[in-house]
Amino acid sequence: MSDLRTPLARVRGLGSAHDGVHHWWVQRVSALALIPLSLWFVISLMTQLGNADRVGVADWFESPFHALLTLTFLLTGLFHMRLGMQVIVEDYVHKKCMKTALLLLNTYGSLALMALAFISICKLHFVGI
Amino acid sequence: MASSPHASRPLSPHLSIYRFHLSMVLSITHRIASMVVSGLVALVIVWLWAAAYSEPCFAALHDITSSTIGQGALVLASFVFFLKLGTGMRHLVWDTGAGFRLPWVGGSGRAAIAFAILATALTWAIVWEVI
Repeated sequence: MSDLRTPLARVRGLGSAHDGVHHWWVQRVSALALIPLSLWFVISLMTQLGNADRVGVADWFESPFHALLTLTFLLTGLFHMRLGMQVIVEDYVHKKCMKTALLLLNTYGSLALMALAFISICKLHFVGI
Repeated sequence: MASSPHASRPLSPHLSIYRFHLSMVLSITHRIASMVVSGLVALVIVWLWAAAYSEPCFAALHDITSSTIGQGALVLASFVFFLKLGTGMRHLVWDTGAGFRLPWVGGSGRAAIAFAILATALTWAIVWEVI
């Protein structure tokens, strides 16, 4: 098939959405990191944190290793989640008003969850309960 | 259309003539599981907030998760997570351009489901001290 793009468009590589493959790439990069991070956190959550009371949870988060790795997992996960939910909204919601509202909610909601995760883990780590 | 001279020609693939296969189920399941896992991450963060700041909220969450229905929901939640992990890794392999031959597509789909079932069974066996 002959290529109808100009040489400039081809070298820019941004495609019809003028956004290139950046979204696609960062979604994969975060996905790769989430394989070990999510496995570690879910197994820790199930086997160590599941039956703990608040003191037990605070004790667990006293370890800098646990606090840092959990925060890394949640921030990476929420970043990846925002990218994925954005694609789902773009695929299925076509009314412009609804689509814009959901995309904004997705962005602000994931930022709010990042903030909530950050402050909760900091409190558990530095202050305890 | 039956009287059309071209009736024997293959038409565009209408939904009614699609043969059921595993890949199409896993395709939409991966997306649904992604949305469920997003909700679960939000719940985990609410739980973390409760652990840090609110005894009544933490106690209420503990009551829910330790009930029979709560435990059942957590088993289901862990299965959805492991399934999303399995099908997600399958997608990452596909993104390298590998694994698209038909026997591999079916096999990796079954492998993802098997991984999810085994991982769920193994982790809950440890949690419930069955093994």
